[in-house]
Amino acid sequence: VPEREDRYTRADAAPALIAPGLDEAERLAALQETALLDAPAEEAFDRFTRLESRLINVPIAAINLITDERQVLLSECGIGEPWGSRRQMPLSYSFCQHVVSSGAPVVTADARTNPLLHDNLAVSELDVIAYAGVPLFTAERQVLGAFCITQPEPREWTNAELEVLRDLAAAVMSEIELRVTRARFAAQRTFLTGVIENLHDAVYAVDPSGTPVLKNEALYVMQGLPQGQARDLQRYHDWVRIYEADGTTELTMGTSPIYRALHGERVVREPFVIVLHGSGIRREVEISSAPIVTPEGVHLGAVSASRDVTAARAAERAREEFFALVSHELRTPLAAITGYLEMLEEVDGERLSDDGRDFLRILDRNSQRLLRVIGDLLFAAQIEAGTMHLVVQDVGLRELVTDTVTSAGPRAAGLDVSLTSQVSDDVPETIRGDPGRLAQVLDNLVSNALKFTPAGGSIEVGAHIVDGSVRLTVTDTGIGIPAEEQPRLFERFERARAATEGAVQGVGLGLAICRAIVEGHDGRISLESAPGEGTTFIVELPARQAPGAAPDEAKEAHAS
Amino acid sequence: MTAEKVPLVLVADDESDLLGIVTFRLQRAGYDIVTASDGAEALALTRERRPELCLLDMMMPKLSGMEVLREIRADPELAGTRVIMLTARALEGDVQRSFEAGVDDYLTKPFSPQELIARVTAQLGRSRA
Repeated sequence: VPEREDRYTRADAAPALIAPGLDEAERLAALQETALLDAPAEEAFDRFTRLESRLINVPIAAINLITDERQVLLSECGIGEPWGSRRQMPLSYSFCQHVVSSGAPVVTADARTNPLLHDNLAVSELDVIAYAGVPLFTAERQVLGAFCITQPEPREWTNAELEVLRDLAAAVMSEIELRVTRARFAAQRTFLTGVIENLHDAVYAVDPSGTPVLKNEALYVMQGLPQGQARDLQRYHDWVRIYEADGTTELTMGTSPIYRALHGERVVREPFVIVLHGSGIRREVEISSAPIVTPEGVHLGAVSASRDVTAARAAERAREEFFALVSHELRTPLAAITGYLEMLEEVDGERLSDDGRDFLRILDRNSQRLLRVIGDLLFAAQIEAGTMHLVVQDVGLRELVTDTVTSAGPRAAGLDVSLTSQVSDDVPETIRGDPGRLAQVLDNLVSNALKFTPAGGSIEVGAHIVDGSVRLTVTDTGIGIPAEEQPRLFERFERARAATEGAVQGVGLGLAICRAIVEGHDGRISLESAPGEGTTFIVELPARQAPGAAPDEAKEAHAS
Repeated sequence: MTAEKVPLVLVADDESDLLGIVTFRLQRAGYDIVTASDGAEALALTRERRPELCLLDMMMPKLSGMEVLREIRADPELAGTRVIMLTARALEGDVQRSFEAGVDDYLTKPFSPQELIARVTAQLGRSRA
């Protein structure tokens, strides 16, 4: 660096500035970001060139931005016409481009004798003789241009004069950086506004005093508020009233979600009803609300997001009504069929032939089977719809196991399969759960085991404590399940290949239902199996804590 | 045969085939039966015949089982009338509401003949079979 200065600049007393050595494309991008390249003259910058000119008594001072094709005069003092009005000139007139390319000050007492500058057009046409220019560095060490001073006669620049120039250049850069930062914030704000405006949820925010400061389009759409100038946020509560989910208890200011959030509470998807004043339209909404706090703990306000769930709730209710109706319509005739079959056998059974009684039994068995399939399908539909209801109470573990074994006993005996139970002494007396549904799980697993265990085999139903969890097991000595079929076995309508090929009864819902029930109890179901050796299904249930509540109870828990 | 009065049981269900099953079972168990095919008829017959026990289907035209139950409980002259509600498994919320409205017991459809007789007997305090 000193060598180059010897060639065409006077030795500079200030520490040498290091050339940034960054990519030219990045420099040009930084230049574009200032948005100053074609901006009109501004007093903020003219103040600096005037000040420089007066402070060191030099006729011409200029702040030049250097692009890849031109020199832009951001501000000038004393240049004269026509360049003063044009505010830009070709690089063939630019000394400042050398400041940019070197990233260091260029200082000369007489350009006519400087090897780098003597043939520049500014020397011959504009009488630029003495010149000093210092780089305009960004915070990222990009050189955007130069702050320069010139005069049409030779001049030895003093260190004090160059220091003034450098200080003012730094001040100019502060001004430019301020604008860039402001522009970045504005862009970020536009971006965030775009995000908020395009949310489907209705968003609304208040400052710490509770004064509304932000809303989005969805708020007006959802609440049917007037368009345009009538959108006065201060009048928000003139337009909308919020009620508890029951639709009758109107919220007071203190119980509104946004007010609770202002006081530090997080409100997560709580159900409310809003009523629009003008039209009286009611909408069911879910409102989430949260305080907005800086990392330092300063409260800035609160935000609330409302989701219109009117249609979803209506669909949910319609679906539940449909299930209830279908359930009733399918079960009623079947109940009549089984009921009258039993009556027929009681009234006339004696008079029927052996064949006739057999036929009655077959009719009854098939009706019962149809009843079970309908029950499974309806239950699976409930699971799918997320409306599975568990009636949670204390469930006796021993009874659960022995009832299963007792009720499947006759079937097992008929198939020549031994069915036993094994309950450890350390299992708790009771667990929390839905007794009917848990019995259904064990019944399903034992039915499965019976289907795949050949005559002479055995099935054991067990209850144990493992790692603090209750573990219910159904172990058989059946044909087993190949490893590749195991992961999908708990999906709906999936059946083991052996079941399909062996024409085993069932639609493939049993294990999916088991899984849904077990997971509804915050438990886990899994299996261990090897083909030819048998299968163990394992149901792990929490030993004591209450299982996942039914959806309705869960909602109440949120609201309280 | 004893001189003791045979208890009268009202059975109300709009499904006449199911009504037939319940009637058959209860008659065989030795009860006198009066039947109704909707809620309004059930209430009228309850006032007229004063059965000791009413078996009410939850879902009936004109008046639901629940509405009939409330009417019975609101009528001082019918104090002491026992009520068993028949509900579909799909509507478990009904059970809770029935108890709140003062039902004595409930039966979830489908139910076995043994279950039916056991519940009715429990309400009437003696076996007739």
